[in-house]
Amino acid sequence: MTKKLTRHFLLIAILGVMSVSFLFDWGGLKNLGLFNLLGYVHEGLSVLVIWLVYLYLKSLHLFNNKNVQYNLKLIVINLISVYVLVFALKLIFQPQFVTIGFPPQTNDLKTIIYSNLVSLIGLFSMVGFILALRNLIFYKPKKNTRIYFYSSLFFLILTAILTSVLKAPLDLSFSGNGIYNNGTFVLTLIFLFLLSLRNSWITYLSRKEKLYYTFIAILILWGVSYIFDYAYELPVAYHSLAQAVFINGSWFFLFFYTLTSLIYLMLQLPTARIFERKMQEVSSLQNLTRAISVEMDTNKLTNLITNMIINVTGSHVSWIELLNPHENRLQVLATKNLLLQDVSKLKNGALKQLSTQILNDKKTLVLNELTTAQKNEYFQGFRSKINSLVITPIIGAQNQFLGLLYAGKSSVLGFDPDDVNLLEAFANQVAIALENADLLQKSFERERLEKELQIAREVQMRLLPQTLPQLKAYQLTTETITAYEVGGDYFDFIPRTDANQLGIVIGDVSGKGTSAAFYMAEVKGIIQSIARQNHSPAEILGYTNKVLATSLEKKSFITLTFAILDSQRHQLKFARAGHCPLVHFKAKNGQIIYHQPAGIAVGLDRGQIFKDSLQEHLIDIDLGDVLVFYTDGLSEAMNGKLDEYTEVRLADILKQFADQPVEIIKKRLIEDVFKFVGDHHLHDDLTLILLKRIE
Amino acid sequence: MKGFQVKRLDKNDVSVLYPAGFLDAHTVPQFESALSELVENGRYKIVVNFKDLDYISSAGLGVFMGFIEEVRNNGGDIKLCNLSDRVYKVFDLLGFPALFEIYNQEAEALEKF
Repeated sequence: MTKKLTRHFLLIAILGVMSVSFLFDWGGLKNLGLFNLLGYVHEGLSVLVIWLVYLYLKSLHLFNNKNVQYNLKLIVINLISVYVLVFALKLIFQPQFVTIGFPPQTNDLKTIIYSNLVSLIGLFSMVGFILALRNLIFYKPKKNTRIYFYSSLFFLILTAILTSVLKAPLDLSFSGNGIYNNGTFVLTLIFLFLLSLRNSWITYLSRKEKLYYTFIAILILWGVSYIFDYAYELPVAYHSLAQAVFINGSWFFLFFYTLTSLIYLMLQLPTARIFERKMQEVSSLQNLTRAISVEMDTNKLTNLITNMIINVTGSHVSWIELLNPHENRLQVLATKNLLLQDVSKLKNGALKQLSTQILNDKKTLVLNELTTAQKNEYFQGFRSKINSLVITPIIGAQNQFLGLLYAGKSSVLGFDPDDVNLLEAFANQVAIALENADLLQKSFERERLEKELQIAREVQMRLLPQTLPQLKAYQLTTETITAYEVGGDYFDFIPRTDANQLGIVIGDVSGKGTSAAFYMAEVKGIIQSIARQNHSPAEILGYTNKVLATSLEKKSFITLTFAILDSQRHQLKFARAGHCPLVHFKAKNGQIIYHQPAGIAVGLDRGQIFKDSLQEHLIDIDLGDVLVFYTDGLSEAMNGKLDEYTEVRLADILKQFADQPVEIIKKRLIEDVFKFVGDHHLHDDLTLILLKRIE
Repeated sequence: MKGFQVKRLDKNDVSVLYPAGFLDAHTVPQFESALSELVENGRYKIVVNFKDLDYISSAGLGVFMGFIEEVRNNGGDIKLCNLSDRVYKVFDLLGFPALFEIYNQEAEALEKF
């Protein structure tokens, strides 16, 4: 709000002072006596107007934009408007000056009005030029730029004051009084000249802009060199010497600056293409680095890179071949400007000979002049015209070969050393990107696997019975100890249609992880569906094998023992499909019997061999007898010396504690296993079922 | 570290593999690749001599099942020999004697082809 008010006030002040100044001209007051005192007042007012115009224009948004193109446009508009306005004023007022002495004189009212108006236009225009040039100069300010700028303005105003006081022309003659104002004028010119050398904005123009601006600069220079004579020389000098000096000085500034800019532009024209290329290289590598840090998709990245190659090196075609480590084969990716037919030729190994050569040398191959023979050999039947070709290997941090980067041009001698360097830089970036993506992928993979294992573990745990069946005359207990990796241990109790019977199943799925958990679920489903009926253990296992053999992976198998406990007859009927033997403690004589009827694991055979090999055993259970079902996690538990726990140690514990309740036997047994393995952790799940007849 | 190596000797049209050391879930891929190399080269008559094998876990047995079908379909076989008691016990438990020919001496196994 206050800024706006200040601006309005400034504008009113300018017009006010100019009006007073006009009255001086009109009344001829400035040339009256009293030591020319009124003349000094008039010049003082003129200097004040310069200052006010400077403050006014500086406060406008118009001159607060540092953009190069914008300021150049301002200068052009400024120049053209001055010509148009002064031309119009000349037509309207038809000014006439008496130019015998200095400054020029007139008594014609129209000429006086014309002079005042032209002076005002001149001030606005010149201050406008200064401010626009200031924005260009400060495009890339250096240490002394500001000092030079304000020094030149200071000396210009000082010269203006001195000239108006001494009334000596600025002819650089250094005679008489002229020594002072010409001296300060020379200082002004020196600073202005120094400022004129500040045209760093030109360096960063594009090649097209440089060419275009060179022509514009010639026209501006022509316009500038005539404007002083055409518009300002007579009327401003008549109106106010101070303003004339100011306009003259700033005109010099404008002229110098236009001249040096033109020279700079012309000097930079031959190197413009190279400079532009270098700028593009820097920015594209920057963009690429940025893209690599966020983009992990190999396809997108390689596409980005081939696009950049086309843009920066001016190649007509580009593509990337990456080594597929699993197949040890190069895979064509991110083809640019290649027709589908050509891509399929590449995929069929059109350049196999070249790629093998680079694979061995690990060096960039530059084929700048492909001979007809070479073209026939490599690009037989290609639709795309390729006359020069660069192939750069993509080498990883461990010096491993990751792939190849191709760039081709339809012209001969298409690639200079700069292009080749750049392509190598791109290849390095590709290598970094690929390795980053690979690392990330691996860590994702690990995380996913861990998650998967956790899920498998949870599934497995939920498949096991959560409560134990209550049995008359028998004690029953179970234990599952999970190892670090997910195993495939499984056990279950299945009530039978005959209430005196209980189905007991224990098994171990070969392999670990998710697949083991799934197979276990499948086994549980099959067994639950048929084991309630009046089938025998061998029938149940045979059916399980029949169903599972088709769905199991070739390498996988499942060991299973199925037993039916008859708690009235005190008999156990069971069959064993490759599972660990059933350990039987006979209370009667304190002996251990290992029941290992023949039988092969589920999944090893699809039908007849399995059925034929399977035997059923029927065991009598006497009072105090203990039966132990277990998985190989127990018998194969290993200590640091790589000894196995074995059934023998299990038998020893049984013999010692068989008279105790099953919970105590189990506790002692597990203590003993852990004592045995020591620091050598369990590497597989361990499952136990203990059954003891107590009545 | 439990080491494992596997050597191969070709005796006429029969290839004999000599696994040595510990064959368990961690080392089984090595043995698997030795077998798959034979199968890829069309050498379907295979004897595995276990004289230098100290230990085999049940996971190590699955590998035989992975190849036996293809081998037999091509008129070959995998015969086993020189199993130590400890190794034989693992094979026996799973019922392998019903599926594979097992011999005491390599010469017997070779003869049977």
